[in-house]
Amino acid sequence: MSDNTAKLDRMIKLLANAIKNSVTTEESARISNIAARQIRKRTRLGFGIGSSGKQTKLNPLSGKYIEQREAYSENLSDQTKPRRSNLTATGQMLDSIQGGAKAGNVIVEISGSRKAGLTGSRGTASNADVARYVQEQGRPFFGVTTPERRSLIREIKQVILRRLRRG
Amino acid sequence: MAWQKVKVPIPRRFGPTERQAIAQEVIDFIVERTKSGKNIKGGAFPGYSASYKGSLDFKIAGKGGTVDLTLSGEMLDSIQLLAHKSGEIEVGFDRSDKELNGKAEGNQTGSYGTGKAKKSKARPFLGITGKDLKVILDKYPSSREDSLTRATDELAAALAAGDLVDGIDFEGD
Repeated sequence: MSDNTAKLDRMIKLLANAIKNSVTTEESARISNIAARQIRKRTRLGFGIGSSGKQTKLNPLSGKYIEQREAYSENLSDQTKPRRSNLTATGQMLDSIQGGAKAGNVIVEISGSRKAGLTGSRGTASNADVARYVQEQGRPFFGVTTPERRSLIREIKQVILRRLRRG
Repeated sequence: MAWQKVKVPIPRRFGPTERQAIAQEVIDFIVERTKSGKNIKGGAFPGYSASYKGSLDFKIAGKGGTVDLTLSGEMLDSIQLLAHKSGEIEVGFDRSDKELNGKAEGNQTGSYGTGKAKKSKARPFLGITGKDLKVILDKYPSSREDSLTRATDELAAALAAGDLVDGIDFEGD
């Protein structure tokens, strides 16, 4: 790396830090809402996050669970089918994912208690409990994949550049 | 399955910083143009099949009438800068990702997993015309200082955006 390139790299890092510190709460909220939307859509399409950050097909459902979903198909969300593995039964858990911004931090959260589930009964688990359980069962989904990261960077970059170039 | 990439010739006056910034702008242009339903030359892509339009995937993705090669967005959002040297940048897909290269090749050639290219079904998206490239390059003036200002703004904005994304706090997991 030439001295000139090293100097430019230092300048880019300094400018990036200044930009980061000037991000408004409104912009943070926008980032988090885009990320939340990406997670909901990708998961409903049947994809989770693989070990290398790659979008990976969610593990298939067990035969027993498919039978249960068929038996209670009237309670299934219209965003799924009995055999479809997309972390969606009634849809409550994915619907609860929302973006927000607190004290300069960009937050994406799963929150809230649950109404009646697939079988019509109401348990004590929260949406976050359900999310934790499905991830422990080998279906990681809550985060961003490498392509989603690129997409978010592209969107945020455009917002930043518009602001920078407006002067 | 062939490695899906494209070499984009650029003037030799651009150094490494400008080449990386220009590559970002070229990739952004390719993605945005494709998402707006236009192929490399600006024409429309061949339509989706009726069965695909009636699928649950189509509904979940919230797709409309525009053919934009986007379901989850994984394919377009995987385009990256592969290499750059004086007078040239190369963008495309990670060579080791056979699945993505296969998907991109299917669209580019119209083969869609059949192994046979079919021009009438092809949706060429990975590339940029000389005219469109000129619009990007014209933003990098011949004055080195102004050209580097444009490039550093572009790269700093991307770096800041990357840090913001990496700092997202996922709560409840």
